[in-house]
Amino acid sequence: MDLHLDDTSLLAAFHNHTTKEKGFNGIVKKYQEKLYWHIRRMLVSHEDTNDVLQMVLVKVWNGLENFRADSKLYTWLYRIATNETLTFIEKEKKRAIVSLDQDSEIFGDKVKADTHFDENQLIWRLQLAIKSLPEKQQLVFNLRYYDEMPYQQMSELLDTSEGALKASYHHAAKKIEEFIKSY
Amino acid sequence: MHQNKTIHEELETLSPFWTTIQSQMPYVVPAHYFETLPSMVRAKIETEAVYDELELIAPLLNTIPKQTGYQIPVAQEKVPPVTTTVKMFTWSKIAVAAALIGIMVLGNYFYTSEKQTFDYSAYIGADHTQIIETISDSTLTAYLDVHEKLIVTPDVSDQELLEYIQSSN
Repeated sequence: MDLHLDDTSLLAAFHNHTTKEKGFNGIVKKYQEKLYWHIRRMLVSHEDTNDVLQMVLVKVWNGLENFRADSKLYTWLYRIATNETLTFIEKEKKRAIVSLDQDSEIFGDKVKADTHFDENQLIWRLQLAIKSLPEKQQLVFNLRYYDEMPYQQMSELLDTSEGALKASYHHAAKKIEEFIKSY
Repeated sequence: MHQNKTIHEELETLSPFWTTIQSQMPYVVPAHYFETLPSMVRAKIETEAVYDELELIAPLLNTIPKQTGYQIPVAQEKVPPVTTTVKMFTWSKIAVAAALIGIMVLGNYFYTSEKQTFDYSAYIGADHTQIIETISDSTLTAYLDVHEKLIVTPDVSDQELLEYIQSSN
């Protein structure tokens, strides 16, 4: 299946019984990297990201039959990935029986545990700074900063007003700057 | 660096600090991960389908681990070649010994069976006069004519012989 096919063609292929598999594979291949990085920025570890991403894609397979094109496929996929990631974090929190602030420290520790971690490099300090933020702010910052998502699309995804998202993003950027300068 | 100029400018308005930062992710993804992901997802979908199907039919089975109690036997140790040679040598020794024993037994059998067929007692107890009577005179005369010259007699006179015969009777 051609990766450059538009979402409408991929969805049409999925809804055709004979080309269902090909349509699904086309959707996976087109969006897998974006979804992977969206999840990994939140979870840090590749293994956790892989688990959650597979769960997301299984849910996509099961739910795509009922997908209505009143929202974009891209937004719909991101919403599932975001929900699954936040659910995973909640489970991790319950499992570790720690508070929200301590949880941030745990994910900060995961950043430091990465085999390529180098605290002298700015890109690694940036990751530590992002992990020090509350989860919702992390999401907003990542979607805007890395995925360059428009506020309008982010609003659909997170069910939050564009103004609130803009304020959240600015606030996050300021905190990250302070974190890195004081590190 | 951001492709989207709007986002880049937005951050620059917040602080010149952001011009020094690159939006590059430092994390590494395992090699060929994205090539294998679709097949991994397909396998997971099948696994979940099997689970969901069984959940409707017989949910108890989903609680039992899918492990069989069967075990594959541990591979037997290979017999060293030296042991094999020794075994063959032993077998050949046994075969040779058996052949020798066989020859001895058969030899003994044939040897003893020949002896048994020769009836010495019958020979000793036979009445020679009867046997001679069955032979014709002409045969005996012919035999004596041939063998008479072979009979070696000591240097004794006929008179001495008659006297010897008379005295021994």
